[in-house]
Amino acid sequence: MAAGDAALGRLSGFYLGFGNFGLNLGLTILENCRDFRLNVDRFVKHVQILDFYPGAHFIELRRRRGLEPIIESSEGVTLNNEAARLSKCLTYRQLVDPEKLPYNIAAGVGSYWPLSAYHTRRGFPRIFTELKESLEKEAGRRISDFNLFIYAASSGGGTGNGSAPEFASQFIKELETTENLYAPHVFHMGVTVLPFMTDPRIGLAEPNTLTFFGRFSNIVKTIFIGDNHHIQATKKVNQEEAEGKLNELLAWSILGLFFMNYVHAGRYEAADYVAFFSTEGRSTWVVPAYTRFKIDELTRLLEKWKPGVPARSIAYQLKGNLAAEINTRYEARKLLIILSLPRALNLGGDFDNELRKVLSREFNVSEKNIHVAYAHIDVGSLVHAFAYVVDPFIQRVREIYSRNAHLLKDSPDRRKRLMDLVSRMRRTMPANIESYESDLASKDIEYIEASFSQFYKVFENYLANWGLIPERTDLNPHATSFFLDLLPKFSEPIVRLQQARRIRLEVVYIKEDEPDNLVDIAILLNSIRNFTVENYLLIEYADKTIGEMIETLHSIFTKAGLLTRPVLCLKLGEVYMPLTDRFFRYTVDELSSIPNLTISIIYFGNKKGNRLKGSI
Amino acid sequence: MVFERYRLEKQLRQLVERANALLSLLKSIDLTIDRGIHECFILRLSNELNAMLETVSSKLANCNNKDCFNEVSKSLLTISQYLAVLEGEVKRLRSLSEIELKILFREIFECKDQPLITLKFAPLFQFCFAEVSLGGVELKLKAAEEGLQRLQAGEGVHPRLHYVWEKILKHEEQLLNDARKKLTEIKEIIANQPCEALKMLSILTQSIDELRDRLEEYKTLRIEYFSPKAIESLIPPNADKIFESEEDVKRMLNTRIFERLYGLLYRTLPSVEAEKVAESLLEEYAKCVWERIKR
Repeated sequence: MAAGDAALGRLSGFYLGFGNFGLNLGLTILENCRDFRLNVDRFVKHVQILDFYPGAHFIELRRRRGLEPIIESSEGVTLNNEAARLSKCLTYRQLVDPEKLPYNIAAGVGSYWPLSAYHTRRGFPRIFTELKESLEKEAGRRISDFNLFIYAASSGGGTGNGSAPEFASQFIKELETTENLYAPHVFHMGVTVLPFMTDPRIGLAEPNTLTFFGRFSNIVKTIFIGDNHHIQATKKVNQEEAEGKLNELLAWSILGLFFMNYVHAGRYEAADYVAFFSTEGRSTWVVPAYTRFKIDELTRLLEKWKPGVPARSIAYQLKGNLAAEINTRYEARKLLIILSLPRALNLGGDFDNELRKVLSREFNVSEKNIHVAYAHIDVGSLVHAFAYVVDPFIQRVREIYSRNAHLLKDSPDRRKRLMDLVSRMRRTMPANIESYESDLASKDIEYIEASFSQFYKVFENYLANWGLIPERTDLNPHATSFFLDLLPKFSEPIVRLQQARRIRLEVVYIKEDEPDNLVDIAILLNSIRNFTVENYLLIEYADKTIGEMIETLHSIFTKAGLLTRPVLCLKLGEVYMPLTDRFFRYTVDELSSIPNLTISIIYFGNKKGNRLKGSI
Repeated sequence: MVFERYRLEKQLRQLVERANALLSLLKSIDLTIDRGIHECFILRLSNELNAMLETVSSKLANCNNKDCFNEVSKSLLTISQYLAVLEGEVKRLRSLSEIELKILFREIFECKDQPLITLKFAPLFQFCFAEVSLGGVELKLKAAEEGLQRLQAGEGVHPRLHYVWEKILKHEEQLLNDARKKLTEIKEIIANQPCEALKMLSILTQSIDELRDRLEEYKTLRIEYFSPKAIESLIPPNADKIFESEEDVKRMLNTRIFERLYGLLYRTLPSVEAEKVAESLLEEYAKCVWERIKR
């Protein structure tokens, strides 16, 4: 049964990222929460990464994104408190221990996804138990605390492509049998990206995309789709930047769903999303879009033009920031728009009507199928706008489909084609699969064939509709308009809301007994100088209070094995001063304005039983 | 009569001044559009106004009766009214913020039915946009043609593999020819149907961009698999002992090159065909290499 926030009807998200894409998207979600001051607990509650890589890779990426709590560099040791808080919501697990295998898949399985699926299926009971345990131990959560499960994997590769559908299907069954978590009270969604056209293995990546959709389509309610190629072509950037931008876009579109936690009336629960994203017998395909702008821009437009122009501005920006190219000649099934507005701004019915009209025109969705939801939340002076287009004509999927149609339908030479495909897939593996996993090698072709057939069966009607007009007649959204740039620059957020401060920190170890009061401690520290000191640089956000800061520090040091509660002192220059109670209410910003200040955390050899004022 | 001529000439001079003022004002506004389009627009508008004014001016110079003066006077009035409309539009354009201008021009260039403001200028902007885009596409096409020619020249390709290399590029040449044809079609309709031309242009731009991307990759393919140095590394010393037949060579090539070559062909052909083409190319490749080993 649902517990925690989930029991209260709030959306409570558990993100499961598979492979490299899953990891990067997960980190982007946390990064966005940090930079835009969204409370991770109210947005995506926990980010879990599953991969074949050993953890070193994960730690390195976490460090690069500034989510590593302790960094050692030439400047000394730096403690990042915000990262420490966030890293509680971020865990990593290996799908299989590569050391136990006779071959090396520490760098992934190439394009041969059946191997990844095989290991996931075999190791699932162990992975599930370990995951549950670590969740409780490291983050203090239970599986039943969640009601929105997000499975993210790229569709063209091997590791995520193989493991995500396999894991999701068993995980959902497990949730139903052991935790009694059923739809519609829980919502399962997938997130995926389509491969770059310039991928050197594009000839394998695209067929893999179809098998991925084939396997995933009956497992989750909906799949959010982004297209790397589309982003690269429209924004004219290199692969790495395109990936970053798409991740940002998808991360926001996931976070967007949680903005509805902040609505007084008409809150969207998991069941509402289940109902919205449902279709007959298969997952819906959703192309999300996201944009944001400054509130004063919107109010200026509202004052000058009434609702017409601001509505157009929102709709055009959303259309310009779609995660994949959609062909609007074909009507999409539904459209959900979520607008997060500051509390002070109350948009009336006129605006709503105008917005629906222009959205209907731009996205080709009939007005009655457009749902517009408003969430009032003060996130700086920003308006966030999210669009979720359900079952649109996705140009790229149509292209992938037509290039690989012969693999989908029954035909005399299909078997041979599939055999060729499988042998090419195996070539991308670091080891010879026949000699190690013979049971898989004898069956993989059936597995792949079944996945293609599944895709064809599920999406046949859908695709037949798309096939009516073979040539693209719509305006091509790939063509960059070199004169017009309504797209926000994703790499440079309009505002960075979180301002960090750097404070010097020292940890002091004293062998002597702990004195009775704070003044005596300060006197002791000022009189003796033969104690051990470790210096750190602390990064903490300006608006945190000293109390909050100390709590996080304590949790970091507890993990490092210092279990007794230390005492705190302020050090001005070389002089120690007692840190009295009222200091705990000050913010970091106020404290950091004091020159030559260091915070001392003092561990005594002999701790007194009763807790001193000022000890933490 | 003399007085009437003097009055009309004065009016004409005033209109010329108004037209010039209008043009320089338009030049000074940042319309948030590409500079090329802006310049094209100013040029076209100034040509249009000049032509109007010159027609009237030459008519006035040859006038010698009252009817003629009346006609000139009427024409001047029409031009003045036209200028007044344009001046009004410039005023409105000036009052718009950056975001409003962006919305407006997006709507103009997408040929929307009800743009933010209905402008007399709109068709001229559309034409200029199409013209500037056409210029861009022509340049891209030229660059692609030159790129292809350089690749076709086969510089840096192992002499024995020239034949295979040319065959690989045949397909791209065909696509380039198609693009050229499409461009001629667009040129024909650009003056009368700028909106239609714009749509066709944006699709053509994409295919040329993709073609150029592929040409870039052919360059790497040439270095990695077709250059004499690459061949040397593909064929190790004592190759005649390692490879026993053409089949052996083909197998080696299949593991090393197939995916890259196939990936390139796959992007333009349905995968069955791409596979066939890649296979036959590798067969020829293998033949060449095997002959070299046997020697």
